[in-house]
Amino acid sequence: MSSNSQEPNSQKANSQRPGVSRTTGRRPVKNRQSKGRGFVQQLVLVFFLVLLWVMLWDSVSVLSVLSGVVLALLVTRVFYLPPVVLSGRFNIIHAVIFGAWFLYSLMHASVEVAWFAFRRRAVGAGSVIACDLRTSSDLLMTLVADTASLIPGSIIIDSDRALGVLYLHVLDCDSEEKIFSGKAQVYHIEELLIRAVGSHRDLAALRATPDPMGLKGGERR
Amino acid sequence: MSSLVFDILVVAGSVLLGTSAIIALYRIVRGPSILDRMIATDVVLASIMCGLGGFMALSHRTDLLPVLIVLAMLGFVGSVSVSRYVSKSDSMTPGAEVGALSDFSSSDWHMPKDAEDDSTDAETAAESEWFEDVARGISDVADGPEAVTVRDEAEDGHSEAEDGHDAPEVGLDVGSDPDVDGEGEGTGPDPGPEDSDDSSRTGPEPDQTDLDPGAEGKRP
Amino acid sequence: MIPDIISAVLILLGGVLSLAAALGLLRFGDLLSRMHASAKPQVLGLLLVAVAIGIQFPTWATVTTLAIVISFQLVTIPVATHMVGRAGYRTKHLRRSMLYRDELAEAVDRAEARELAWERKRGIGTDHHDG
Repeated sequence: MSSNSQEPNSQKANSQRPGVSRTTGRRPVKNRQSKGRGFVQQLVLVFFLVLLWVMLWDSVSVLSVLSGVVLALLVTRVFYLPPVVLSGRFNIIHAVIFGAWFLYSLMHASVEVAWFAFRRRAVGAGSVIACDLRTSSDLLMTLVADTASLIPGSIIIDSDRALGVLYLHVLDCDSEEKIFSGKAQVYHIEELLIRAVGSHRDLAALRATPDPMGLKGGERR
Repeated sequence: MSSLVFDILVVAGSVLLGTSAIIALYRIVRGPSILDRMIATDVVLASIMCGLGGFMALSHRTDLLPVLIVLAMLGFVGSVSVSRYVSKSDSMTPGAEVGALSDFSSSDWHMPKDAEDDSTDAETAAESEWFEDVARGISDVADGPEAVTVRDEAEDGHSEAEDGHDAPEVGLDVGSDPDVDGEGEGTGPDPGPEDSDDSSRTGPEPDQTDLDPGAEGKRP
Repeated sequence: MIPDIISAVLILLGGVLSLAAALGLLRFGDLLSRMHASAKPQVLGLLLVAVAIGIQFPTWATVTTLAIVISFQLVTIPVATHMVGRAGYRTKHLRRSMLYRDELAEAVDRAEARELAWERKRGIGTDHHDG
């Protein structure tokens, strides 16, 4: 239902008419939906590029908007990006909560890393931790990784897309408690993001495992 | 009085920024690897950006804002380019013991590759020739293994051919298994459509043969 | 004068963060740790400087350009640090034994065994195509 693929040829051959579902006898809706979704995404992309262009030129005039549209269309055609499956859900309240938490965490962690640089002991050994995310969508994994990279203390090193695992390097992490808190932070980021922009499936996954650290007791993967 | 405070603040800020740039210079000189130097260059760039921003704020001019944008982009492109280069150059040396990355001598890259691993002899030979070219400073990798040139055609064909990879995605590198080649072969940067570094891992792909007559000529 | 003082204070804080970044570069013993020191304070420092500029010029034109700069940085810094980190992790001579726990290496070992078997199977088919 949520896939963007066209009907495979073998299925077409089996049905009475091309492009008709075997079970319901109606033309599958997903084709139109997927085309529509792709077009809307391209439109959103073009809109944001035009907005960026207009902001760069600091003036909203016919010339800037037109040139922005032309350039945006050119860029999206030449540098074609694969479509991102957006979840279609955007909760303003949770997005604001996420933004506020992100800013606070950014400041707190920057001060902490700056303190590491100034204090006598500098920093201890780090660790590479694995976080098995509850979500399975590309966009959400990317957002979690970006946020974790931005907040001082963790850098995303690698990811396992198929299993939905993120590998991060955490600074000054030479005890179990610090590893625990590092993982807890990543899961917290994921929870905030799922509540803000996650799809319904992600929300269900979130409700299924609300506490991956506590329940599974320091799982290692 | 407030003018004095203001001056003290400005001078202190400038001194701090300058000091940070000089300390980062030390790391550029000393850094045992090229990545250390790249990070230090990033810090110098950030200091310059902060200094430029401060200058703009305190002398009441905004015509240098595009310079900030350009500097940000340059820093990013530089970091990514160097790290891609490091991944590529280090992906040809198997095993854990590798010489320092700071001296690029082609003799380092002819370590005998134990052919008992996941590569055929032909592929190994093709790879080592390609690496030789890179070692000699020939940046044009079009005559690498044949997998390289295939990337130019439709990305759909690429995404279907890649067994272990998903469709091209936004953002992270999403190799299906993290760092699969333990012998340091490295999958390199993201397996995008025109990513030539993917060749070392996707050599065995069956549908990427004899499409580039140039590469064929180089193979034994 | 007050906006000037506030801007000066923010720039000073940005300078302190830059100094922290440089000192971290100097003092941390590991490539990955140094990367933490370099990129992270950069984000906050730039944010502070942008706020300082925004205080001086609260016009739409300037604020939108500053928003562009900040959002560029927020988007590109994680990518750059990730790529440098990945390169630094994979090139084995750069990785010292300064890791307390390495869960990625464990996963790599597991995947390596799987991958060897997979490649061996496909290797037979490859010879046919290499012709």
